[in-house]
Amino acid sequence: MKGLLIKDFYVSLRTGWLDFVVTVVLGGIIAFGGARPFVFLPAAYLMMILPMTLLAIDERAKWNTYADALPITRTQVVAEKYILTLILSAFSAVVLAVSALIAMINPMLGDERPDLSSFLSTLGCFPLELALTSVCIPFVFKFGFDKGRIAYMFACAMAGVGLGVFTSWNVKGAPNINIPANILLITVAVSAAVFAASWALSTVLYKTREF
Amino acid sequence: MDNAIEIKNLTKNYKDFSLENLSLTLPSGCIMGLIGENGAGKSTTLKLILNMIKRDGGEIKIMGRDNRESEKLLKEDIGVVPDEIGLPTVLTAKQVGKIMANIFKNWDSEAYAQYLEKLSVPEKKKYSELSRGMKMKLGIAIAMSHHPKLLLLDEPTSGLDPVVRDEVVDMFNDFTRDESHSILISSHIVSDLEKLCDYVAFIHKGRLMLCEEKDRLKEEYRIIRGAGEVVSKVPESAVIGKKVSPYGVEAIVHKSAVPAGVEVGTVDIEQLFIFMARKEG
Repeated sequence: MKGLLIKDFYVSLRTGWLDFVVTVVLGGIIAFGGARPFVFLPAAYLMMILPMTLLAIDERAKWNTYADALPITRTQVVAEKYILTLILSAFSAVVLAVSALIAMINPMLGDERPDLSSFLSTLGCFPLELALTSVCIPFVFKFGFDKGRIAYMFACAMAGVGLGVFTSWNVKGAPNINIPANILLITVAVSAAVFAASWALSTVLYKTREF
Repeated sequence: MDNAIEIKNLTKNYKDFSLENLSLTLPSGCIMGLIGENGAGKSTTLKLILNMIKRDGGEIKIMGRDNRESEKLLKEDIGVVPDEIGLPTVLTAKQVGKIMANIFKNWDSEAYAQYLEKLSVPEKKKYSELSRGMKMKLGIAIAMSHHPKLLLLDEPTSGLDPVVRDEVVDMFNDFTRDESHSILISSHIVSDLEKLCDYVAFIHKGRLMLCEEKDRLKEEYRIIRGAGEVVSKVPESAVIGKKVSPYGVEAIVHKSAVPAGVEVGTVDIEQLFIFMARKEG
């Protein structure tokens, strides 16, 4: 498992560096530019779909076939991608938290400073994005990236529509949306269930796949 | 002596291809070459041994254990060089070493560095920048750096120049000096197999035509070249395969059936395979 994570760490540094840059830049815009925390959601989504990109790279390289010849189980191959998704989500959550914290105490922002509930509501959208990613991953494990990307594109479109509806996409003028706590809790619970179900389904599908 | 691999009645069916009732045994300390045309079933056999694909029937034992039980543990003792080393193109050999050190329990970083040096594989070049031969050499270094007991090699010498091929063949020979080490190797380059192998197995259209000790095969068969009447002196049942051309006839025959006075030559494994495959159709 550790070997798989190290592999994806090396590969993502080479191929996904722009995603990391976008994440940090958006964090900077929130911390020092006065943008609302909601602006960060595309970066969070980029981080969550990075494992999908890595799956595509694995497939192109025929890593999956090679991994079958190594002392790695298919359960581990699947688990690693889900754990990686969580690690990258946590990374973007940390960047967001640090940015929001800086913004909240940044005297230069004056009235533009976000309040805590705005930050928490943005963080509350993470599970929703995670659920969207979770819907796509089993398709990729079953059919490969070329066919699975149809589900991936559909989820991206859904995410885009969702973001548009929530934010009206006005960076500075976007309201400090406050999602009620009970809705947030339900979102987290449903997303966790979707994530767990996706993990289990991917494991079953990948175990029966023949290369 | 224990067996490294025991396969009994192995069957795998695809829509347009079947591997039928394949049975073979590779004793420990030996090297077996799998010879067959493209699509004969060599890679399928190797994949089935590694349980990369599900078999439809039969048994496979590796070092005495069913290959589906404790699969992960078994793979700690197996080094594999597939026909295509599936490494992401952005990785360097050095990074691959760090990855493998966290995959194999017995990974020997020092041995890996030595293999890379011996095979002249650059440590810092991206995998995509390596030639096919270099990629294969990297695959060989990976396969041998965790001190496996069994090597499964699918066309490992293809893409290598003759000098390196010879070095690699020597490395494999050194590997089997330890009696607990074995190799199953498939290759189109039959001359390499002839240098290396103790046993050869011919696979043709998904069926095992023969599995025999190489020296015994070479001892058992002879080639006759000449006019048609020379070959007609040999009983038809003793003729393994025949090639007729405007210049005469070539036939591979059982040595014991050759009548006195008929001039014969020794046969090499490639000729034997080609003639047998032609006879099978």
